[in-house]
Amino acid sequence: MAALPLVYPHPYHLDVLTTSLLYALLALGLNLIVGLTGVLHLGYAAFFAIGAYTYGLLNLRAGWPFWPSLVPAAAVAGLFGVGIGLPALRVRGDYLAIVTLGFGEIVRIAFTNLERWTGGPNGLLGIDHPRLWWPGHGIFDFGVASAPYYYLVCAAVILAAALCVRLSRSRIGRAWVAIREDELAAACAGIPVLQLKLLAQGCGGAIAGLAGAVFAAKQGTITPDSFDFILSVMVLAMVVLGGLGSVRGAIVGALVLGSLPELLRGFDQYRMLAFGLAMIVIMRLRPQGLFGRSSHASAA
Amino acid sequence: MPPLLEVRRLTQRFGGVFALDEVTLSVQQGETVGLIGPNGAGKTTLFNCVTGVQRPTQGEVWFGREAPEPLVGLAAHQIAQRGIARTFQNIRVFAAMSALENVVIGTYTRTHTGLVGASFLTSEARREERWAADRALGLLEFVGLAGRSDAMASALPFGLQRRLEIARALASDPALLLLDEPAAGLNPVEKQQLVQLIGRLKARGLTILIIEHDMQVVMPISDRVAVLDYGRKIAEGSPRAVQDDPKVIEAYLGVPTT
Repeated sequence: MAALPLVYPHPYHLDVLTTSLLYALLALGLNLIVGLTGVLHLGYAAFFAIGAYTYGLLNLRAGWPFWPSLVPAAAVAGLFGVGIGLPALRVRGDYLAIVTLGFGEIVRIAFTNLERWTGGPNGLLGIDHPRLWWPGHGIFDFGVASAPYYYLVCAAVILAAALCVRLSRSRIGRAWVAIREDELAAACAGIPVLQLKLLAQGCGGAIAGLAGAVFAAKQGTITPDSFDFILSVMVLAMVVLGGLGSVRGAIVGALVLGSLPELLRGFDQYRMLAFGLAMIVIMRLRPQGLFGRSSHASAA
Repeated sequence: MPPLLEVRRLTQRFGGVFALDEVTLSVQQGETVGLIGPNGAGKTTLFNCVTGVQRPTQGEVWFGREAPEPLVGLAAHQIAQRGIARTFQNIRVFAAMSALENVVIGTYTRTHTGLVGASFLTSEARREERWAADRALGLLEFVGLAGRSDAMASALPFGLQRRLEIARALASDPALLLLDEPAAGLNPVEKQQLVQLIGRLKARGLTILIIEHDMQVVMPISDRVAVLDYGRKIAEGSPRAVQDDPKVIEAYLGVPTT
């Protein structure tokens, strides 16, 4: 799949696929928070925005190039995850959903109103595309071509997926799932629940921050309305559709929901209606998601 | 030698109701103490106060023989780290995890792999994973769940889920094991197997505090029995002495009318 641009270099379709893979990156990160740890987060787009603005501002104000900016973009978004989690995770269930929803909106509105730094509703313009030094060819600018971003996002998804698989099979991942399954029993087994929830938010936030920086570099322009509540809900839908806690599921869910609107173009103005119907049908047939682990089946 | 666990004048009030009323109880190293009493006597509340699930209104809990440490005010996971493991009256296994994973969770306090170790799968992390899995397999065998390690916890029959919970508690290598009505819902054969299992734990030198309604279970295994009624400790002593205590009979059967 990584070699797709060589055999099928249709730029528009590649672009749709790149966007879907960017969603996959987000779904992988949110899966750590919602899927494994069971913390319902409705403001995940905020971490994506923080990563995008971190790179945008570093690039425009301080002249930072793309590659080294990835570190602060991930770090700042991850720190926000921990910082917001500290007060937010003291509430549970429905209340937590409301608090995280509020966080998502506050970040978007803050970026809209802090005009002096963020350019307000017009956003940041003229962010540099990534540049790569290619042996023998000198410096290669990603520019506005489709294929280089496809490769970049592909690599990021593969790395993030590998990391998520390792985490989910580790002591940390098991503790996250234990918290999701039964918080009290987890605490009595010696698991520091708050600390591990913060860790999940930090890791999930960092992955979204990374995705945000890639997004900003690809678009060259970012505005606050790219990071609205609908995006948070879409990514959540991808995680749920793929199956809570499943790494494969998060990627497939993102690819399906990310490209479905394009595949349904034939329905013309009824496109989003068909999209909604497709989601209902899938969830009706497989309530545990495409790759979800049903608690009633034997271990896969 | 000071006791392993010492509960001093523990009181838990819910509004005007005393769930626990100045209960004092101590458990010596290696001892098995039965905690009995009618429903609502405060037995589970006592467990919750000892394990940090609930914060008592008043009183103290001290744990440790060499350097006793107060437990009130510590969080549940901190108390678990200090060597107290428990099971629950209503089974609380991790339903969507395999039997093996459930027990491996119990090794959390005995392992150290963090974010970096897990991400890079360091040799140290691998070694720890193997150690935890081996330990969990051994414990599954010990409680009679050999061959069921890959079964989803929710797919196990009720009696086996109870044993799975005990295996998970044992995985942390606790100094004190609290069992909350482990025989509830078991059939007579399973109860007999449970008594044997607890007997083997005693033989290993484990200190156990057990809440149990079933006298056929609690009497043969307990070195000492304490009786709670309406949040107060009304009797304590050898199983036989407690069984013949008129106050205990009254608590269970009501006031004689003759």
